[in-house]
Amino acid sequence: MTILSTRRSVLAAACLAPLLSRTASGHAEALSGPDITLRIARQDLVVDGKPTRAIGINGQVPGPLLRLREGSDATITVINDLDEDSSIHWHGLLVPSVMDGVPGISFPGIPAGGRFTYRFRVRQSGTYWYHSHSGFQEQLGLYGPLVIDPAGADPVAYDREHVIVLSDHSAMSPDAIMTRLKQAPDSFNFQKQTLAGLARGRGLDAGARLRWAGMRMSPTDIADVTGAVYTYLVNGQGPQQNWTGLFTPGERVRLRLINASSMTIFDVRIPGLAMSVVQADGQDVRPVETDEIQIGVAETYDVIVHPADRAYTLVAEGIDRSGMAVATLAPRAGMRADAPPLRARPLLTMQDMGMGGMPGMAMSPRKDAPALGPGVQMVAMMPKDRTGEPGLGLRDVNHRVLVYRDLVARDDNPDVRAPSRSLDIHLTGNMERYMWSFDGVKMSDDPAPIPFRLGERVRVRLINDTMMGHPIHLHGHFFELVTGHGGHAPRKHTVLVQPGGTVTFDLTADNPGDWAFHCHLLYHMHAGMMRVVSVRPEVA
Amino acid sequence: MRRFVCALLLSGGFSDAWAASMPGMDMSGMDMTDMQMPVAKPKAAAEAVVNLHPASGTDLPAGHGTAPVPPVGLYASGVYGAQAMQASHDAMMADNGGRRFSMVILNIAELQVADGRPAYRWDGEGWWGTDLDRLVVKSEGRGPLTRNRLDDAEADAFYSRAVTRYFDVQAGVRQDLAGPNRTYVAFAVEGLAPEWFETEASLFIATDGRVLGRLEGWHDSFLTQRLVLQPRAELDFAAQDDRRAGRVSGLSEAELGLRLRYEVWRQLAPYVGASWTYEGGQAGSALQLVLGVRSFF
Repeated sequence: MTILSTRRSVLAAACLAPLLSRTASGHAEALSGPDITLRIARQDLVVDGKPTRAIGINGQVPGPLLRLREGSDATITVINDLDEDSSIHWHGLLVPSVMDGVPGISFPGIPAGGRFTYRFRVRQSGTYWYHSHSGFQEQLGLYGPLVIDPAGADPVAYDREHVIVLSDHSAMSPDAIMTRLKQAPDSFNFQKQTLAGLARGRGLDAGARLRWAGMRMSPTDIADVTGAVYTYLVNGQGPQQNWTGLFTPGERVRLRLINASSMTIFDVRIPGLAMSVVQADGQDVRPVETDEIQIGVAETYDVIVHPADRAYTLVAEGIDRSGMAVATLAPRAGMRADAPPLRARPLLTMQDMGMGGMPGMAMSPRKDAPALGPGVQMVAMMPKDRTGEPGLGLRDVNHRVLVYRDLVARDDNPDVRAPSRSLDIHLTGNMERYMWSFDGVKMSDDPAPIPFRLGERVRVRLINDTMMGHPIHLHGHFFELVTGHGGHAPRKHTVLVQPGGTVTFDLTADNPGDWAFHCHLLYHMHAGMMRVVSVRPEVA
Repeated sequence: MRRFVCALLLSGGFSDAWAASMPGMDMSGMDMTDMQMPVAKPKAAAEAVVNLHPASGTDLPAGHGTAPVPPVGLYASGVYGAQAMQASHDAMMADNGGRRFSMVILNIAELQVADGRPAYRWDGEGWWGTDLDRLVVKSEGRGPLTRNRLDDAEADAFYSRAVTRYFDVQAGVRQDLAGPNRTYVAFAVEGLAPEWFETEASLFIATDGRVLGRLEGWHDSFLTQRLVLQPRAELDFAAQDDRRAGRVSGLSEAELGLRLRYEVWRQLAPYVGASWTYEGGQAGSALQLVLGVRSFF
C-alpha cells in the first residue's frame, strides 16, 4: 500500500506540470521560482456579467497561484499601486515575524506607490493562501492561493489537482457594509422569523419566539452579511460563470479548497462524489472519507476525489443558506450537472447559546467569565466542546459530515510535551451594537499582548460566549487541537469555534516576535476582535 | 508472543495491574488480520488495549505554570524602527474597533389627513461617534401643510454613553422651535427592551423651571421579510399648566400609531397607517390617516 502510494505520487509529480490547473478559465499560470513580483492595483471584476470594483494582484482576482517548494528561499517583491497603504500576509506560513505582513504588528506596511520585498525560508508544504491585512482590501479581492510542494515525494497520491478558492464579493463597498452593520446589524438578514411564517406553522412556535425575543436574541442570526449583498465565487467566478475543472475519468483528483471569504463559512459538498480529506490547513492528515465539509473562513482542506465519466457540481452553501458558490468538475468542457437547490436555513438552538440545551434559564454569568456590558451581550453558561459535532446546519443531514475529531495528523506531532500552563480566552460580542472582542476588550482599547515565553507549550481554551461561529486564526504558528488524538493531534492555523462551544489547543510558542491573533470574519476583526500575541525569550 | 498476548486478552483475565507492569507496550503496529477474533469482544479487554498507549502530546494534562509578563514595545521596532512601527500600530488599533460611525434615521416622515386638513409630521434622530460615546441629535415636530408655520417642533442634542448591553444614557439640551421660545436641560435613557421594543424615556427641565417628561416606544413586527407593522406610542407629560404653549399638566399629549411599511430596501420603506392623537385641554383627540416614508442612512 505504502509502496503503491509512493510510486503513484512520483508518477503524479512527473505528469503534474502540463496538467496543472488546466481549466476552462482562471488560474492559468502559477508564479514560482526564487523571485516573484506581485503588483497590487484597483481593477474591475466582472461577476456573472456585472462589473464591480475590486483590488487585484497582477490584474487578477483572486491573485495568481504562488507555487513554492519546501526548503527553498522565497523572495517576493510586492509593488503597491494603490493610493493607500497595503500589505500581503502569508496565511499559515511559518515565516519570521517581521516578514508576516501585518501593518502595525510585524512591519510598518507598504506605502502607497511603494514596494516591499519579503524574504523567507519555506519551512513547510501544503495548501495555503495570502491576503492583504490593510483596511478593507481583502474584502475587495486582494487574496490568492499559495501552494508549497514538499521537498521529497508527496505522501498524497494524485494524478491531477485543482485549486478551489471560495470567496464572497459584493458590489456594496466594504465601508458601507461595515457602517450598515453598526447602524442596523440585522439588516442583511432576509430569513427572519415572520408572523406569516408563524401562521403557516414554520420555524419556532409562538412561545419559543417570545422566549428568544425576551432575551433579545434572534435564532436566525447566523450570518451578518448574506447573499442579499454577496455573490459567492469559485476562483473569482460567480454561479452563472460556472468555473469548470476538467479531469480524465478514473483519475485521482486533488482539490485544494481554500475559504478566502470575508464573512462566509461554507458547507462544501459534491453530490455523488465522496471526498477523502488528506490535508487540513496545509498539514497532512490520515485520509478520512466524508460527504460534506464545513469550512470556516481562512481554513483550507485538501481532498481526493475519484470521479467517473460524468459531470459533477461542487456546491459551497453559505451556512445561512442565503446563497451558494457553484463550480463544475467534468471530463469535458461545456458539461454541467444539476446544482441542488439551497437547503433550509437552520435555526440556532439553546445549545448554541451555551445553555446545554436547557431552555428558559436565566443568564447569570459564570465566575471566570467577562462581565456583561455594552460589549458583552451574553456569557455561555455551560459551554461545551463541540469538536465532535457537525457544524451548525449539518446536524440533520443524512450523509457523512467531517468533524474536527475525525482529523488525525499523519505525522508525529513535533512537540509532545505536556503544556506547562493553560489559558482561557473568551470570544465575546454584542450583536445589537455590533461590537466584537476577546474577553470583552477590543483591539482599539490597547490591551497588553497575550504573552508567551519562547519555546513554552501552553494549553489554550477558546470559549465562545456568542451565538455565532468564529474562525480564530493565530499567525506564525500551528497549534494542535486537543481532540483525543495524543501525539497525532491535527495541526491548524485557524479553528472554527461553534456557537456556545469551546475549542482547546496546545501551542508551542516557537516563533519569536509579535503575531496577530484574530477572528477571521473580517468585520468582526475590524470591530475589535483581535489581539497581539507576543513570543519572547524569558528575561532572567 | 503475539499469540500469548492475544490469548490473555481473549481469556478476559487481563487486568489493569498487568497493563501497568508493561508500560509503553503498543499494539497499534501489530497485524491482527489473520487472527480469529470473536464478534463480541469482552469489554474489559478492548479497554485494556486502549490503555496500552502511553499518554502523549495533547492527551497529557496541563501544568499550573504562570504567564510571563507582557513585553513592552514591538519586536519589529528592532528591524523597522520604533517610530514607523508606532505610527502603523496606532493606525492598526484604530482600524480594529476604534472607528467612528454615523447614522440618521427618520422613523416618521409623513403626511397626515384628518377632517380634510392636511398636515405633516417628522420624528427622527442622528448619531455620530464610537461604540460607547456618541453625539446624538433628535428632532420631532408637526405643522399644517396649508400654512407656513409649525404647530409643534423641537430639536435636542445629547452626549450619549452606552452603559449596559442594550441601553444608553444621554444628557444634553432641548430647544423648542415652535410656540414660546423655551430651552431645556435634557436627560434621556434610550435602548432596546425585552421582546425587541425600542424605548426612550426623557426628562426636560426648562430654564424657567418647567418640567416635562416623555415616554416613547415602538416595535417592528415582521409580517414577511419586507412587510413590517410598527405599533408605536408616545406619551408627553407636563408638571405644570403652560397656557402659552397650549399644554395642561399631567398627560399633556399622546400619540398611538400603527404604521405598515414595505422595505423596498432596508433603508427606504414607504408606509401607510393610522395615528390617534390626544391633546389635554380643549383640543381632545383625533384620528388621522398617515402616508410616509421611513428611511435611514
